[in-house]
Amino acid sequence: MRMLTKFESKSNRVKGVAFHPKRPWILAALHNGCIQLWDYRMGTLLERFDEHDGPVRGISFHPTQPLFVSAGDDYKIKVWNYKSRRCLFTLNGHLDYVRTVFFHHEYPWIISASDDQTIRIWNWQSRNCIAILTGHNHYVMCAQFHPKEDLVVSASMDLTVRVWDISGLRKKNQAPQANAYEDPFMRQNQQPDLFGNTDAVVKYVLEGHDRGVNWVSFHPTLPLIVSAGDDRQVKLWRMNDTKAWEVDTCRGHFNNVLCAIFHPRQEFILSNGEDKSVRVWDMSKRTAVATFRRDQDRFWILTAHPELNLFAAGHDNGLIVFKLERERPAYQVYQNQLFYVKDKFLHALDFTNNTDNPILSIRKSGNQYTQPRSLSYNPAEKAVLITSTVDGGTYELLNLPKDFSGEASEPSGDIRRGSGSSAVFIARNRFAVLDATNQQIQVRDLSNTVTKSFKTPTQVNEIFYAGTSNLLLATPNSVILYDVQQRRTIAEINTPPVKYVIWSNDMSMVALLSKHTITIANKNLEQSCLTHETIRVKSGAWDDAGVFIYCTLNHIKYVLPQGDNGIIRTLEQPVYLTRVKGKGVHVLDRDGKPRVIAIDPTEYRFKLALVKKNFDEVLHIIRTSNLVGQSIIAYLQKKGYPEVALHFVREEKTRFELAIECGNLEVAVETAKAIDKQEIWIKLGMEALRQGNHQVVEMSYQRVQNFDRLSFIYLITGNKDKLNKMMKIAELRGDQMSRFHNALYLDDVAERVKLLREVGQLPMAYLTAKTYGMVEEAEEILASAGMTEEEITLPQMEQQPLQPVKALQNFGNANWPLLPVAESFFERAFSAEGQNGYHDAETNGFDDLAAEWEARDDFGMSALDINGRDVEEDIDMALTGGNEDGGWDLDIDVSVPMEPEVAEAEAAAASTEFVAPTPGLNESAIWVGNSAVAGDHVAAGSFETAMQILNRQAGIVNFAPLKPLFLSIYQATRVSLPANASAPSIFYHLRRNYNDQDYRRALPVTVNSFEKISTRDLQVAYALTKGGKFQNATAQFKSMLQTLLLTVVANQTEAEEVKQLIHVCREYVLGLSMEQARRSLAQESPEENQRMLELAAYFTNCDLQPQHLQLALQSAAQLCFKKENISSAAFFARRLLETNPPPKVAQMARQIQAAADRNPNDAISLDFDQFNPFTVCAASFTPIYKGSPSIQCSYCSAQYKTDYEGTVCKVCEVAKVGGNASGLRLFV
Amino acid sequence: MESVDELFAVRNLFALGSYRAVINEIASLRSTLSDAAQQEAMVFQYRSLVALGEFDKVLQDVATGTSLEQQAIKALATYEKAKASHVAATMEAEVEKAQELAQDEALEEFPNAQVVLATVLLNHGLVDDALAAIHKRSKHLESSALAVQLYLQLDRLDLARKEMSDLKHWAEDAMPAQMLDAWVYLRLGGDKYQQAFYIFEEFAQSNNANTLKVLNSQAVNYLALAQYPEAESCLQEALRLNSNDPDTLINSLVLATLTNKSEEITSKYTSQLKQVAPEHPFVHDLDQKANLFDRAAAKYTVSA
Repeated sequence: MRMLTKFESKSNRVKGVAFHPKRPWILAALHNGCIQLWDYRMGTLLERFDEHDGPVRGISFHPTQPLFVSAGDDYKIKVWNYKSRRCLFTLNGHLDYVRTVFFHHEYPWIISASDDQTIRIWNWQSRNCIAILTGHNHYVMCAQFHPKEDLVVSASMDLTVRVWDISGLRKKNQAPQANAYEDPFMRQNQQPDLFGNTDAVVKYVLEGHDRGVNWVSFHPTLPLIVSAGDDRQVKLWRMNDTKAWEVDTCRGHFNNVLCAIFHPRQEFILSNGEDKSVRVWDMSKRTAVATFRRDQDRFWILTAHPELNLFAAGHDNGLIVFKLERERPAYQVYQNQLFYVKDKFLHALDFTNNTDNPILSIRKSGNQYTQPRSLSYNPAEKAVLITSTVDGGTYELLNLPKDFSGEASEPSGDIRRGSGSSAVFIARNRFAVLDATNQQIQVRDLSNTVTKSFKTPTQVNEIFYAGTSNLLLATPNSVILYDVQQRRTIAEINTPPVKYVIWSNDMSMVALLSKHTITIANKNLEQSCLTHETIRVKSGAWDDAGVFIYCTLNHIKYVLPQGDNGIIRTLEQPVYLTRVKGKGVHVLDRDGKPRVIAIDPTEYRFKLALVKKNFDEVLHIIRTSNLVGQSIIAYLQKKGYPEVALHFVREEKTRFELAIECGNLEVAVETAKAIDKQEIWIKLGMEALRQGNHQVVEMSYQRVQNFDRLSFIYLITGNKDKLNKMMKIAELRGDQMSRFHNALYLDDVAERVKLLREVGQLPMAYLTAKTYGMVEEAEEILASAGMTEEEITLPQMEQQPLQPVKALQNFGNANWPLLPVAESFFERAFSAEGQNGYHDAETNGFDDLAAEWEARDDFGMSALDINGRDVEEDIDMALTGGNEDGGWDLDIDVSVPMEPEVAEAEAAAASTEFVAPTPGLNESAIWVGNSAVAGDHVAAGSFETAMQILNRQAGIVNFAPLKPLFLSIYQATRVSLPANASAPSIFYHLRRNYNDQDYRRALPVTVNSFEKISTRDLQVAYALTKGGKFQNATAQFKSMLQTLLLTVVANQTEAEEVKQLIHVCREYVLGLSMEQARRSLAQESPEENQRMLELAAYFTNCDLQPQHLQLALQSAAQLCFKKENISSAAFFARRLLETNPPPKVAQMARQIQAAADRNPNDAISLDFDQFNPFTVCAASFTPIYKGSPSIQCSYCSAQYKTDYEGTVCKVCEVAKVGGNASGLRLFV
Repeated sequence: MESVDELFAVRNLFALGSYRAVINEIASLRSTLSDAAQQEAMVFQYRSLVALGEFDKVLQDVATGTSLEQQAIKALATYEKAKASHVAATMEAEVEKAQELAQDEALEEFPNAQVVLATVLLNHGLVDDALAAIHKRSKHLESSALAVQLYLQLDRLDLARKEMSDLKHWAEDAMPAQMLDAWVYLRLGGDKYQQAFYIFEEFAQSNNANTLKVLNSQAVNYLALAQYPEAESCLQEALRLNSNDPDTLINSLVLATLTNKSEEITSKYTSQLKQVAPEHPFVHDLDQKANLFDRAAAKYTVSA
C-alpha cells in the first residue's frame, strides 16, 4: 500500500480539514485563525475566510447547502455561505475553546465540542442552541453525530468516550424546518426543557484509555467506534442495543494519537498523530498495514471524503490530500474483449454482446492489500500476466480457463511468479520482464524460465508491448523501440516520461501518454503530433478511423494524428477508456464497472475526413449532421477550406468574406448586394479585377460611384457607349475634371474645347482647338475673347498631339479570360446539389460500376455465405463439443511415432549414408480412404473411383456434362503456399473438418454445399421460371441436378432434403421442356394444335410450386378455351381456382367455367384423361397412365416408356434410363 | 543465442520473402559485416535477386566465380532463367551440373551452396536428390526450412515434425524456424491451424511483412479455417502487390470457387494463371485431370 499524494498545501498549522461532498474542494482551518478553501484538483487557493480570533479547530461542510461551519479558540461558532463568501452568523454560547463542529446529515443541526466540558447542539436555521450535553468532566475534544441513528459520540480529556442518545431531541424537533417560523411564545415554552437534559442522555460510557481521548468516530455502517488518545493507542469499540465494549487496541504510535477514522469502503482504520505518521490498520486483524511517516510535520487531523476514495490530513505545515490505492483497474483490450481486474477477480467483457464474466480468481495472487497494476493478455495461449507493485514489483503468469462463460475458477496449475516491475508478452510463447532496480530485461518462456537476459540500453522505467519481439522502453525522457532478438534500438522518440502506451487496432499508430502530454507516432516512432494538456491525462483508445480518443480528469477529448484536437464532452468523474466504437466510448469507471458513454463523433470525423481529403465523407457529414457554430467555421477557414465553411454560414458578412477568400464571385456578388456597403463593394471589385471579371468590377465601381475607375475600366474594355454615358454623368454632376478626362478617353476634342471654354480657360480652349486643327472654333474663341491671332504666341510643339489609348477590341458584355479559380470538389458538389440533387455529381463512374458488379455477382450471396458458415460452424461446434465431453481428445502433440518409417529415417540420419525416405500418404489418398462419397473422391482428384461410385450408386453413364463440375471441385481443394525462395510452392489440402485434431481423419472441403444449391441456385432457377426464361431455367435445373450428384452433406436429414430437391429439379426440367416443346410448335395443322394442347395439359401434371402451377394452369385453361376445348378448359379453370389465384385470374377462370356450363364440349380430342392418374414420359412427352409399363432414370427417377430403356436420361442427362443403382450416398 | 547473429535481420527478411528489403539491408550492412557474414550475405543477395527474377544481374556477377557457392548460384540462376524462357535443354544441363556439384565432398562446408543446389534439383522434381544434397547439414536454418518443405512434399509429416523439433533445440524461436513450424501446423490441422494463424499474424505485424509470401500464407491459413472474407482481403492485397503471382492466382481461384463466384471470375483466374505460368504444377495437374476425366469417362458406354 502506498500513499498516493494528490495535493499538498503549504500553510500555517492545519487543525481542521473538510471535504466538499461534490466539488473538488477542501477547507483547511488554520492555527493562525484563517480558513482556506482549496481546489485540490487544480491546486489553487480559492478563498480565505479571516474572521476568527485565534486558532480555528473545527470545520465542516454542509452536505447539500452552500454552507460551512467553523469554530475556534474565540469560543465562537461561525456559519458561512461560501457562495456569498461571508459569515452568515455567529453562534455564541461556549465558554471556552471549541474543538470540533459538525453538521447533522439531515436535520438543521450543528454539534460542537468545547473545553467548557459541554457538547452543544445548535439549530442553524433558528440560530440557537437546542441542547447542551453535560457529563464530561474535562475538555471535550471531539463530538460527532451518528451517520444514521440518533446517536452522538464524544471524546474527552476525562479518559472516557461517551455515546449519547438524542432521540428525545429529535422527537421534539419533528418538524425542524418549522422552527425558524415558530412563534416566540412556543420557543419560550421550549427553553426550560432544553437545559433539563432530558433530550440527550448518556447511553454508554466507554472507559479504557489511560490518557485523554482526542478523537472518536462512528463506523459508517457497522456498530463500531474508533477512538484515539494521548495514551498512543487507537481503540476499537463495538456496541449493541444494550451495551458497548472494547474490542481491541491498535498499538504502534509512539506519541499522542490525535485522530482516527474508519476507511469508508474497506476494512481499515486510519490514524495519525504527533509522532509525524499516518498509519493504516487492518480492522479485523488489528494489525498495522502501513505507516507513512514525515520528518517534520506532526499530524493533527484526518478526514475521509464522503464519496470518493480520498483522504486528507492536516499537519504542522499544511495539508495533504491522498489516496491509499490506485483506482485505475489493471486492464487490457484484445480485439472485442476487455480483460480487467475488479475485486480480486479477473473479468472478461465481450464488447459484442456485452457479457461480463468473472473468469478467474486472483485472490491468492500478490498482496491482499494491493491491487494489480497492469495486465498483459496472450490470446494464443490464453494466459495473462499480472503485475503489481508488491515487494518492489512482482508479476504472475496465470492460465485462463478455456471457456470464458463459466463460473470464475481458481487458477489452474502452478502460479508462476517472479519479481519485476513490468511484464508483457512479446510473442506467443515469450514474455519480457523488466527488473527496474538492476536495469535488466529478461525474456522468459511460458514455464517461467529465462531464455534471454540483457541489460537495458539506458535507464528504463517501464516496458510496453510493441509487436512481436519488440518492446517499447520508457526512459525518463524518451521512448525507445527495441528489438529484443537483435538487442538493437530501432527508433527513439523524445517524450516526457511515458506512463501508458496505446496501440491502434492495426498496430500502425501508437499513442504515448505522459502525465500532461500525448505523443502520437507511427509504428516506427516517427512523431506525428504532440498534444499538451494542463489537466492530467488518464487514458485513451483508438477510434476505428484512426482518431485517438482520450480522457483527462474531466474531459473526453480527441486528437487527430495530424495534431488537431478538441473536447468531445465533459466528465463528472475520471474514467478509463477501453474502446471506442461508433458513438459509444467503452470505459471502466472508478469502481471498476464497465460502462458505455455516448459521444458525438461528428466533429472529429469531419475534421479527420477533411485532413485525409476524404471529401465524400465530408460532404456526407455536412449533409446529414447538424454541425454548426463559429468554431467549425473558423477551423475550416484556418485550415484552408473556405469553400466548405461557406456551406455552414448564413451570416452575410462572413459569407462574403469566405466567398472572397475562395474566389467564389457568384456568392460574393449575391452577398454584397445583400449587405450593400461601400467597403464590401471595394473588396469585391478588387477580387473581381484579380480574376479578370470586369463586369463584376464595373458593377462594384458603379455601386461605390468610383467614376474615375469606372471610366478607366470602360476605356480599357473599349466600351465607348458607356464612356459617353460617363461623360454625360460627369456633366450632370458638374465634375469638370471627370468630364475632361472622359472626353480625353473618348478622344472627343470638340467636347474638350467646349469644356475648356465653359470653365473659362479660353487660352487652353484655343490652344486645344488650334492644335487639333479646329479652325472655326479657334477663331470663335478668339472672337469671343476679343483678340486676334497675332496677339498670341503659341508654344512650339515638336511632337504630334497625343493620341488617346484605344482598346483594340470592344469586349462589350463578354468578360476577359478569367483567372482559373480552382473549383474544389465541394463547390462542384454543392452546385450540383443546387441543380439536380445529390447523386450525379460525385458518384463517379466507379461507384456505379462497382454497384452493378456487385448486383450481378452477388445475387443475395452474402446472406447465403453467412448461412453456410453458420451451419458449418454448428457442425464444428458439435464436433469439438463431442471431443471435450467424450474424451476423444486425441492430441497429436503427444503423438508417438506415427509411422514405422520414423525409426528407419532416424537410423538413416544416424548413419551418414543417405537413404531417400519413401513418400508418405498424400492427403488426397487420405480423403479417398475416409469417404465413400463421390464428391469427396472428385475433390481428391480420384476421378476414376468417383465415376465408379456414381455409376454404381446412381447409374451414371454419361459423364461428359459433369466435366466442368469435376474440375471445378478438384481445383478448389488445394491451395498453394510459397515456401522457400525459388523453390516450388507447397500445396495444402483444404478440409471441411478443419477442427478435427487428427489429420488422418481429414475430409475434403465442400465445394458445392447443399445450402448453396438449395437456396441460391434454386432461387435463381425459380426466378428464371417466373420470368419466362424457360431455356435458362431448364439449364439451371439441369445443372442443379448434376451438382447435387456431387454434393456432400452432413447427415441423413440433409440427404433426405437433397432427394426432395432432386425431385423438384426433375419435375421442373420435365415441365419446362414440355413448355418449350409446345412453344416451338407452329400451330398450323390440327395435329400440331392437338399436340400443343396436350403438352399444355401435361405441364399441369408436374409437381411445381403453387405460383408456377398457377401459371401452367392458367395457360392451359386459356389455350383450351381459345381452341374451344371448353370442357378441358373448365377442368383447368377449376384446378386453377383451387390454387387461390389473384382476383383477376380467378375471374377469368370463372368465366371459363360459366362458358363450360353452357357448352361442355371439346373441339379437339386429347390424349389426356383427367380422371386417370398418369406420369409423363420424359422422352416422348406422352402420358404413362397408371398401370402401364414404365421404366425410370436411375438417378433422377424421371419416368420413361419402356422403349427408352438404356438411353441417357433426357432430364438429368447423365444417368441411364433403367440402369441399376444402389442409391446415392451423400454423407460420410 | 550467445553471439548475436550479424545477418539476423537479413535472414528474417529473406524468410518473409521481402527480397528487395534483403538487398537493401545487405547494402546498408555491408561495411560492418565480418568476412564470413559477407560470404553468406552474398548468397542471400543473389538468391533474392533470383527470386525477383533478375537473373542477368546475378549471372554477370558470378560468371567467373569459382567458389562452390558461386557455382551453385550460377546453376540456380541459369536454371531459373532457362525455366522462365522455357529452354528445356539448358534446364537439363544445369540440373546435371547441379547433381555433379552436389557430389562434391567439400560441399558439407557450404550449407548455403547445398541449399541452392537442392533448390535447383527440387525445381526439376528431383525430390530425393534434393534431400540427398542437404542430407549432411549443419545447424543451418535455411537447410532445415528446405528439408521441411521436402518432407512435406513427400507427405512425410513425421520427418517434418522431427526436423522441426530438432530445430527447436538450437534455433529457438527465430523467425525462419517459426515459419517452418507454421508450414507443418498447416498440414496437421485442428488446433494447429490456430497456432499457424498466430505465427503468421506475428509476421504480418512486423515491419516489411507486406510480402506476397506472408499474405499468401495468411490466405492459405484463412482458407483452411474457412474464413473466406479474411482470406479474400489478404489475396486482394497480394493481387495489388503483384497481379501475376501464380500462388496468389491459384489461391484466388480456389477462394472464388469456394465462395461460389461466377464462372466468369474463376475462368479469369484460370486463364491468367495459364498465361503467366503455363508450366506451373497446378496448371499441369489440372490438364492432366482433364485428360484423366476424358479417359475415365470413355469407359462408360452410352447407347444413344
